Amino acid sequence: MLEKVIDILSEFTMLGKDKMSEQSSLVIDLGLNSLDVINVVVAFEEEFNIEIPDQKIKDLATVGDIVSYLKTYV
Amino acid sequence: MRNSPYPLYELPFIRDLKDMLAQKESQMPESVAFTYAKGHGHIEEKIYHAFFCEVNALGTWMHYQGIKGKHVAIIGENSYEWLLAFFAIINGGNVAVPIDKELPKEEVTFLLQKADVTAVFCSKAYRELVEDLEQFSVFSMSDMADYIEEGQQHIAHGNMAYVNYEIDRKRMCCIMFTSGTSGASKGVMLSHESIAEDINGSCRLFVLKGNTIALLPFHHAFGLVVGVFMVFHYGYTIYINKSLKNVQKGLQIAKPQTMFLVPLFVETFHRQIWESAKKDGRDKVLRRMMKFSDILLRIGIDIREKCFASVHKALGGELQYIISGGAGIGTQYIQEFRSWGVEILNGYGTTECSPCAAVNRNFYHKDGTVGLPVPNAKVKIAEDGEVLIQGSIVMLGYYKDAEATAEVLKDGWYATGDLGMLDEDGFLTLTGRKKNLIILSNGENVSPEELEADFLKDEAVQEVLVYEKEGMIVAEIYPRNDFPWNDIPWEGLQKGNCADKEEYFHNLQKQINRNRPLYKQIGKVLLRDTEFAKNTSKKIIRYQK
Repeated sequence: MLEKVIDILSEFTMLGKDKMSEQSSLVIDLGLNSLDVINVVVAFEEEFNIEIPDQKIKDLATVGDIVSYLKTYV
Repeated sequence: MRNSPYPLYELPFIRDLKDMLAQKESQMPESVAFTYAKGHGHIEEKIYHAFFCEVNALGTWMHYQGIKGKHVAIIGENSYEWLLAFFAIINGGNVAVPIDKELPKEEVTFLLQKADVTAVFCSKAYRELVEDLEQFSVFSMSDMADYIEEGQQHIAHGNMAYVNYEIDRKRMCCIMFTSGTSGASKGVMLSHESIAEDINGSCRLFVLKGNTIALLPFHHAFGLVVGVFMVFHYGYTIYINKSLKNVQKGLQIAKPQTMFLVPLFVETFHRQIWESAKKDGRDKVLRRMMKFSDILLRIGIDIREKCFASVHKALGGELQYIISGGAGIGTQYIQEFRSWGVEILNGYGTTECSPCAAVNRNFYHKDGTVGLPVPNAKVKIAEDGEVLIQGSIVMLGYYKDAEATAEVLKDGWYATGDLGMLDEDGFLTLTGRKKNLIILSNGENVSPEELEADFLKDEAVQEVLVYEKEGMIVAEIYPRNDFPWNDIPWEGLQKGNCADKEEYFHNLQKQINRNRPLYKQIGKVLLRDTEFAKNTSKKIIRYQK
C-alpha cells in the first residue's frame, strides 16, 4: 500500500519517490498547499474507488496517515 | 470597450437582505436562484420564489422554537440549507454566527461561547463539533425539510409574525469571526445596513452578466456577501459547490461567467493549465499563441475564445471574469489570464467592511491596484500611509471587545492596518501591512504572534519569529544553546532521543501542526545561530531580515 501511495504522490508532486517515506508530511516535506491536498485526496478516491469525507481530510497530514486510512477503508 | 471611466451601474436599492429577498420574489419569482448536486448526478434547482417561501417557513419555525432575539451559529459545508439558515436567522431579529467548520472542536466551543450563541444549525458531517455541548440547542441541517414543513403549517394557519417582522437596519445581524485562534479571534459585528450597503455599492462598480459558482466558504464575508448575496441581487444563478473535491465537476455543471476567488485558486488553476499543456507537449505552442493573440488584440482583433478553447473548457467554457480578493495577486496571473480571455479584477476588503471596500471595474481597471473604492464608502490615506475607510459599509465594532474596537474605529474611520496609496484617478494600491498579520493566498489571515506563542511554549525555543515567504508560513527559531537535544523523551509524536537540533525542531513543527487547519500549518522551520536584532525596548525587530 505504501508503495502505491508513494507512486501516486510522486506523480502528483513530480518529486522523486526516494524523497518520500511514511513519515513525510504533505505540507512540510511535499510542499503541498491546502488545495493540492484536496486534489491528492481526489486522486486517491479515484484510484481506490472510495470516498474520503471532507472532514477527514485535515487528519491526513502525512503519507503514513493516508496509508493507514486506505488500509482501514479499502 | 475602452479601459476608461464610465458611469456607475444602476440597480434597485436594497434596504436589507429581507428587502432583497422580497424584491426578487416580486421581480423574478420563477428564475433559478440556486443549483446544487443532490444524490447520484441529480442537479437540484431552487427558484427565487421557493427560497423566499422556505426562508419564511424556517424563520417562522424558529420563532415557534423560541429562537427570537438570539445568537444562532451555522456550522457546515457550503449548502443550500446553510444559506436558508442564514437568511432565516437574520430576517427575524436573530443574529447569525457563521463558524469555520475546519476549526478544532475546542476552538468552535470557545467561539460559540464568545458570541453568546444559544442555538446552532449544524450539518450532519460536522455534527461531532457540537456533540455533547448541552448548553446549546443543536438543530441538524439534514432535518431542515421537517422544520420548513412545520413552519409552512404555522403560516398557513395565519401566523405572519415572522413574515411581517420589521428589520431595524442599524442593528447587528451577524457576527463573523476574523481568523485567529482562541483569544486572538475577534467577532466582527455587521449590521443589516452594512451588508446591504456593501451589496448596493459593489453592484454599482461591477456588473454581472451570467451565472456563478460558489467555491469560497460561506463563513467568510467575501464568499458569502460578494460570492452569494451580490449575485443574488443581480438575479443570476449560483451553483453551490459543496466540496472542494468537486471543483472540476462543478465548473462543468455551472459554466460560470464570473467566479469570486482568492488568489490560491487562481494560482492553482494557472498551474494546472500549464501542467496540462506541458504533459501534452503543448506548452511552447500555448506560449507562442498567447504572444500572437496579444499582438492581434492590440489592433482590435480578438481570437482568444478560439485560440484558447482548451483553457476555457477547463474553466467551464463561459468564464469571462474572476473577481479576486482576500489577498494580493501577482500581475503575472492577471496578464496571462487576460491573454486567455479571462479578466481578473482585483478587489480589496476586510470583514470589518462587510467586506468589499474597493474593486476594479469591468471596463475600467488598472493592474497592480485593488480598484476604485465602493461609492458609499470614503477611503483616505493617513499620514503614516495606513488605509482608512469610513461609511455605511463599516462594522459596528468587535463583539464585547471595546478595547479592540477603539483601536481600529476612530471618529467613524476604520483603520485597516494596510498601507496604501490613492492615485490621481482614485484607484487604491496596497503597499504593505502596518499590523503584524500574515495574509495567505487563500485569503486567510494568520496572526504570527499566535504561532510564535505556540513555539515559545517549548523550552528549547529561545526566540522565534513567524512570517510568510513565497506563500508558506516560516518559523525562524533561535534555539536555546544549553538545551540537551539528545536527551528528550518525546510525548505523543516520537519517543526517544533526537539526533540533533534539526530533528528536534522538525518534530516540534509536526507537533504544532497537528490539529491545525492546513492553511495555518508551519511549512518550514529555519534555525539561526544568532539572536534576533531588537529595538530599544528589547522587542524583536520584525521586518529586519
